[in-house]
Amino acid sequence: MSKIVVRDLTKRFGDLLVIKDLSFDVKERELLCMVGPSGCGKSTILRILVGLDTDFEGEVMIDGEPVIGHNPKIGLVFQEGALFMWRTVLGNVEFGLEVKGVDKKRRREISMDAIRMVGLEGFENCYPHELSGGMKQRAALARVLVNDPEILLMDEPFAAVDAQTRNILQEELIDLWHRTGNTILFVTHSIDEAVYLGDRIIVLDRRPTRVRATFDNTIPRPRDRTSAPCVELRRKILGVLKEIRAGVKEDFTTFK
Amino acid sequence: MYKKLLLCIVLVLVALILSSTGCVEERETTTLRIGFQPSAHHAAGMIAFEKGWFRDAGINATVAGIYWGGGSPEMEAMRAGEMNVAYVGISPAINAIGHGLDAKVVAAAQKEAQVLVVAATNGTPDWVYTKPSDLEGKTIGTLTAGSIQDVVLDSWMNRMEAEGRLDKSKVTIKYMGIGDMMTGLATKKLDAIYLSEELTEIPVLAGYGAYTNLTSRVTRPNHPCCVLLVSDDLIENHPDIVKKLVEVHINATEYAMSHPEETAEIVSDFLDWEEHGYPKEAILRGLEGEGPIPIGYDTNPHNITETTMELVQVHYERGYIDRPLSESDIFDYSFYDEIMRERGM
Amino acid sequence: MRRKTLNIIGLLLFFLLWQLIPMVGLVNPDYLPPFSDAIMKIPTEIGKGTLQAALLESLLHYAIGFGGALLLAIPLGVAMGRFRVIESLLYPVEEMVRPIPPIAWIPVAIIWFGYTPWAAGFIIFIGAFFPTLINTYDGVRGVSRTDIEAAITLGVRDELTMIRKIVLPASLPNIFTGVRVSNAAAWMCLVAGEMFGAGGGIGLELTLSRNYMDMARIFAYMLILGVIGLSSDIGFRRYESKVLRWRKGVVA
Repeated sequence: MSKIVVRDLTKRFGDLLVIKDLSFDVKERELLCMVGPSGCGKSTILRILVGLDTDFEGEVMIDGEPVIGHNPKIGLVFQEGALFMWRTVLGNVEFGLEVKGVDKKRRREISMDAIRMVGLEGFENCYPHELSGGMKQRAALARVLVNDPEILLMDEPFAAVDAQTRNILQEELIDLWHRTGNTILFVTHSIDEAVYLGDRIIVLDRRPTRVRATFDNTIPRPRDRTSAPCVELRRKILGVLKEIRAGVKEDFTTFK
Repeated sequence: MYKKLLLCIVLVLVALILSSTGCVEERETTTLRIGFQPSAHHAAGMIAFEKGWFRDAGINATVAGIYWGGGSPEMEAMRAGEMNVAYVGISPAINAIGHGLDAKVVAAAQKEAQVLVVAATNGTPDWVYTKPSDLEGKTIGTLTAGSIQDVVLDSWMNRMEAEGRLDKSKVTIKYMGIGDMMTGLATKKLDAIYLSEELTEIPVLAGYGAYTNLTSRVTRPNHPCCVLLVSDDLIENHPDIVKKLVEVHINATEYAMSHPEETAEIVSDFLDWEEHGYPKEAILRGLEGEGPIPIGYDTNPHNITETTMELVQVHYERGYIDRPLSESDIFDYSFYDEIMRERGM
Repeated sequence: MRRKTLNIIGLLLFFLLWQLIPMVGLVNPDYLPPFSDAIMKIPTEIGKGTLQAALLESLLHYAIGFGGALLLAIPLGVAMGRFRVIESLLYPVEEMVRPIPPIAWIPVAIIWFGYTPWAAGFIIFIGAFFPTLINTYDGVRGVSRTDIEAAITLGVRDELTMIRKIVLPASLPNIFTGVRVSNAAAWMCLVAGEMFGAGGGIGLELTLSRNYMDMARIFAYMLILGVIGLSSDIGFRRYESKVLRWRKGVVA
């Protein structure tokens, strides 16, 4: 049964048509990656899924239920984490539980578990401005995880982090995912990242966006980024992206 | 590095101060600049201006200002050089001289004339005063702090408290100018005002005030009220002009006492009385002594010597002045005495 | 040199100049009494009990005016910041009232409140209200959309929770700035509000000193006002840096 079903999603910002007849599924427990050219509306898709944007046409269903506003089953990790600067790491992580009304002792326990899970033990009383980019992202992840979401949406979460830390975070994410067994929809610019992480990779078209291509990734984990199958898959995806870019030139000429 | 900065700052400051002390204009000292308050207590000077008696005596005179706020702002202005002659209450004069004003009282203007006026509606008193303790719980307005009204009332209340007839802490005194006193009484924000005739006629005539029997005769019998104050500079450098001034003052005071109706007209015009919304009749009633206590004109400075020195003691004890002034700090009888000799009195 | 040392040197230099200039006669000591005259008035005032009484009265007025201003301005600022409708409705009225100086309100205060501490408190309120209102409003408007959205995705559903947990903490730096400016304004308006004698206080003592022509006493009370102003500002700044520990860099 598909966890997420999107059918003929169409979104306009005023006169600008951003998404047109976009359709895709996300299966339960799947780690699905989404790549595509800049400005094609990847973030918009996530915002619609998490309920921040309710102005669209088409069907968007979670577990068969249409999306109307925020569904507690879904968590969103923003680009750049979006930690609350005035709260400590612990304060940030336990925020969702605080809102739910969980009592202090229990909140502490669950939050410390999550903090340990993302490897930030010892830093729980630090403020965000004292943390590095990678640590901030981990905290943001922990903050989402405490609410035990069945679905995790991630919007280029590792983009602002250096390459080495990025690789480490990717490995840690896979670990986490194996343990929690939730469904992940991961948006990224990095083909390398998509190939390393995803069970499936969807390539989105230029604006107005729809699904251009889907790639199944059956390479067994733990994946070796330098291995031939990974390289091959990357080549294929890059090829599609090249086509999309070439498609722009075509549009230009017909436009003339 | 810091030492140089310090030196620069000091030099700049010194330069500023030096340049500012040279800024005070050199005023022509042979013109009398005379200050007034809006009351018939100061009628003598007003009459002199109206009838041209200063001119006739060969004196250049102008009106420096009319101080509706009371004697304290007037003395502040005199210290700032705005006037060299003032019709003013004795208490503000004492305070000013005590804090460095170089001036002397050369003649008296009038005595007493204070009375308590309670708030009233259409002439009927809102409350009745019969004894000192009736003031407890009441809010009373009087003329700006430092005025003769303030000092007399305050010292009387102290004496009453010492006699056990009043708990002074239960009385609320508010200081303000004349206009605010009238408004306060009319809007019932004040329960009473302690002020002098003829100004007290204003609320009584309009019906929002009513007289009581708490007058100067009770609070401080025979106390000095308004005086003629002249700067030491004039006294030392132009004694001839000062003598003429005193002579005009004596004549004008005699005229006020014998011509009440004309005086009321003159005072009313001089002060733009009706523009302020006050009836001319108030001045006339005061001059004719229709209220509980007359204005009490008197030009003889010797008549107020003893009572003034008593007041000086009060000022000193209350901390208004830092040292007890002597008679010669305050008075210069020479002009009055000479005039009286010439008149064979 | 360390900042604090420089601070103290500056202050001492000021007092030294104040002492010397009238003493050597560069300025008439009747018009500018030397620093020693002014400061020697203070024990006398304490002995008379006048200073203590005045301080208590002023604190009362300050509490009424400043406290009232914060109590009204902060919620109103939040409401205006969160709800466009409220802001649009209030904007013209606010911009009309704001430029009117507190002193102009004195006759109104007397008529409305009589000669009571509330009248003086009202003048202080007028002065203290707008800085906090405007800064709170700015802070609330400036809360990043990302913070709001993150809160929504973490389960915040109603406006009150959003305000309590996100909007207020995020706006706190701005609110603090507004409060500090309001505090300074409050002490300035305190003198104006007390001058017409509604009910004692330092402002009244200043007026009385003026009317008794006691320059030294005027300067003594001005000194006291200055000390209060300085220490209250320092106090606010200290509290601010404690609460706003989460900010990058030093809170001045």
